[in-house]
Amino acid sequence: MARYNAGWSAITCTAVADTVATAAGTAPGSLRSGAAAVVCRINEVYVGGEDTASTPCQMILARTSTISVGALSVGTLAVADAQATAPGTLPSWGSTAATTFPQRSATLYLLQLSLNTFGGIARWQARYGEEISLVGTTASLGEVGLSSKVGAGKTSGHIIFEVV
Amino acid sequence: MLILTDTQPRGLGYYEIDNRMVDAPMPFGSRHFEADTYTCSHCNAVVIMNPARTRERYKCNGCSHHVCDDCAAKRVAGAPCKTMQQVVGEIQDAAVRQPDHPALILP
Repeated sequence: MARYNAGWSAITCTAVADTVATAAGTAPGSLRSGAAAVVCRINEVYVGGEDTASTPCQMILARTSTISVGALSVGTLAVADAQATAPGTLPSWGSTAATTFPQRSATLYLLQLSLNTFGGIARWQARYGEEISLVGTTASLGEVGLSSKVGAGKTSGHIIFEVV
Repeated sequence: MLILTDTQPRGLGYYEIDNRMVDAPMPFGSRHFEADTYTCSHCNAVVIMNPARTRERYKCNGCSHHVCDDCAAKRVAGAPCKTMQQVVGEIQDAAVRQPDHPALILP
């Protein structure tokens, strides 16, 4: 259907342990499917470091063991193809949850993007047909989050995904 | 999906960590790391293919796809093949079957 770009800008991460809720604006964000039958497929993740001093940072894309509740904000969501037909329900993206913040699963890590945010970059592109999928409105398949486990790096970046 | 190989793997995912612009001392080694990846068809974890690995990568007989080491161990221990695509399909089917008004009492 439609490909979207979920972005974040100049967010200084706070190192968050597994199964601990993130706080407002302390992680790039989480992507939530938004409806029971909505499937999203992530095919690219990019993290660009913007610190002014050496800051090793262990960024992790993982499923959430506690799903976020309420509207997600502080993040951009833009359709990539101008001719795309918007799906009935858009997924939610952002680093600030209105009610409950998500918690990173201790086991369901999907991708590690460790970098030094003093100018380093980290990038992953899926092979066609091997995208990371999320579906439904419950943990842990309904949401993935990108957050730092070690290091308080300042980053911007994007996640490209398709709603199918 | 099979990993195609002739002389080199091809058609895989791409992973890059580039610290070449980092103006700070770092541990010895390359500041630029690139690797092929594939996504485990069972759990969707991204597997970054270690170029130095010589151990065979497990290919599931059920889905004819390479899976991650964790899922390979489960499979060898007797777990059935269940792909993430199947799980997603089941969740979608369940959502479609769900009545719009679950609290509605029918005569």
